[in-house]
Amino acid sequence: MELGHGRHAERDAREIARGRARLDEPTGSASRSDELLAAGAAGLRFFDMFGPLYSRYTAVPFDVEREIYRPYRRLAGMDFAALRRDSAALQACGRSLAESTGVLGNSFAGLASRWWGHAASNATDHVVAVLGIADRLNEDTAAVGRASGHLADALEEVVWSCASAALSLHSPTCAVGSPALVESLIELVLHRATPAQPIARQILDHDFVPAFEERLRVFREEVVARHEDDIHALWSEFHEVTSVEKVPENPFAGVSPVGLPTVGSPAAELLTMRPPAAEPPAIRPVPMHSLQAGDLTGGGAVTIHHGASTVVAQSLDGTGSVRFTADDGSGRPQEHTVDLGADAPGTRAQGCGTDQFDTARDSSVVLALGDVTVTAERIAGGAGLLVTIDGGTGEVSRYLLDFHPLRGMTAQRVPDPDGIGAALADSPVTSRGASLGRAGLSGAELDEVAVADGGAVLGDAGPGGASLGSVGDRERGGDGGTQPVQRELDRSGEYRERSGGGWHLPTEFVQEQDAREKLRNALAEHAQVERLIRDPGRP
Amino acid sequence: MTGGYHVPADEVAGIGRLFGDHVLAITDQAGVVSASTVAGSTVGEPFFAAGEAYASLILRLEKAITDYGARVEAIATGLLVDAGKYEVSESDDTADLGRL
Repeated sequence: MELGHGRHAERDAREIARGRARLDEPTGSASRSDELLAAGAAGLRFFDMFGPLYSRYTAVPFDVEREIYRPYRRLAGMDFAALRRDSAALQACGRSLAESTGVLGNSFAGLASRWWGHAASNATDHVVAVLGIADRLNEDTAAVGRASGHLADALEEVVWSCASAALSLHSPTCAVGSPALVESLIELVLHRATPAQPIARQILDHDFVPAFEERLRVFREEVVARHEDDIHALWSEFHEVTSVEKVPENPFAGVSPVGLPTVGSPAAELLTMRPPAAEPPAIRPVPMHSLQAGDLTGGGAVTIHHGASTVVAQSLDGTGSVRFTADDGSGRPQEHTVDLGADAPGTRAQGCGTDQFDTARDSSVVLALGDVTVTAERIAGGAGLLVTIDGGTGEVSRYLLDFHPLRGMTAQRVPDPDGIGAALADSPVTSRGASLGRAGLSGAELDEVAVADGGAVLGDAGPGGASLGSVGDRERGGDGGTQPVQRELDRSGEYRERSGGGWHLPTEFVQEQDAREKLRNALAEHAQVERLIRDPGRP
Repeated sequence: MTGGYHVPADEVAGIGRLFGDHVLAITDQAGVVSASTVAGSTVGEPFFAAGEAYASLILRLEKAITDYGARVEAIATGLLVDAGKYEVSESDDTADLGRL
């Protein structure tokens, strides 16, 4: 039985009141968008009441289900609760992963600070790489969780706004009056030729129809389309912040899946002219009898023992001047001061011994110490020396001596031609402790690291400590206003930082790669020279 | 016994065991992430694609966390194996030192 207009009005008023009460509840109270839309649906009763009248008078088809309720339900089916569950779970997951990563990082940092040699370098490089990527993964996971929570709240607010706008459309009248009055006017216009007919037509044409159409426009544009656009914008913003593209498909792609990284490199292949070496053992003990600790003060020194002969290189003034002393055990050392600065005009000698360094840029000096011949060559393009010791019995040892303003002298034995790649891959460019600190592994930053690899000072000690942990600090936003730095792997597997809108390699990676590249280039050049000497006719 | 590496082999093994102890804790988190029910069908019909992209993001996180666990397990295994190698090689290094 159809209710009278008075009963309709009472029922609608009750539903409107219930809808308002539901929509007065705070954000977070709805688990699904359907709950809010149901609360706002009472406002759409206006179209139930006046839509058929409008269609009857104008002869314009108007299906309330198709025109009103179907578009309104486009915002149904959103599971806010699922997003909130994800938010909590992902944030907890990020915290749990960060806790594990922190424990592992701190524990390994303790080991790495006392563990040195090629094996330690390989292991540390690998662990630092894995935990560094894990740090980013932990942050990404937690960030997606936070964003999911914000998204759920924002979506709920948009749907709430939509439902509230729908509810506000309700009115018991449409311009001229109740549905009963409008129905009477339509009846008068369509079926009764009375003097009142023109007046009724005028009321319907100038009041009822425009009022209805305006409310229909508001529904279509302000209630449905605007809020749908808002939700699209929210999802776009969510994906912009946490898009799949920003979480690499395989963030660990750049790290060897098992064990430690391989050491084969194009430079090594060039030098050895052999196929790339097979993957080395996970951790290889490295003989440490070739290099022994020298005086580590005053810029650092390295001492090379070869039988009874001793070669000492010592940084003097922190500018690249190196005192180079060779003694064959006779007690008559030969001493030279060599400038390794990149801008130096060439290797110059201030020697008091019998042999002098040539002043040409890429020249070498040969020191004859009894049966032992020591050759020291300035590495072209690099601030270092390549020292070759020939014991006269066919046993030849080679060492790379490098000078760094902060680290002082560093040394690395070049094991043999087959091992050059390995030596380069783990050249003493950065300290392991420093790398851990830079990786920001839960406070595993080391103020000073001086790890002696058989006497070579490998740490970023002293004034260089100021730079340790810089990336971690920036990532936490605690570095005196420097802009945040984001890190991730790009599609090629390179680990990159992003700040200020542009991608670039992490600072320490750039420094390390630059230094290694210099060594590779220098050794490649050296090998080429050696080949030319052996076979001058070969191009 | 420390050999030439300044750390005892059992300390390397201890760190290896520590890494191994965290593998399950890490891989469990992948399961937590994979429990997400958000997808194209749960975000509203007009936003189906956005919901599917969200599900892809969650899947990517899950895979990355699983991979992280595998990496930690590999490190644990590597450290334990290499700690064993250290114990074997320490005597050789002692001989090397003696020749100096």
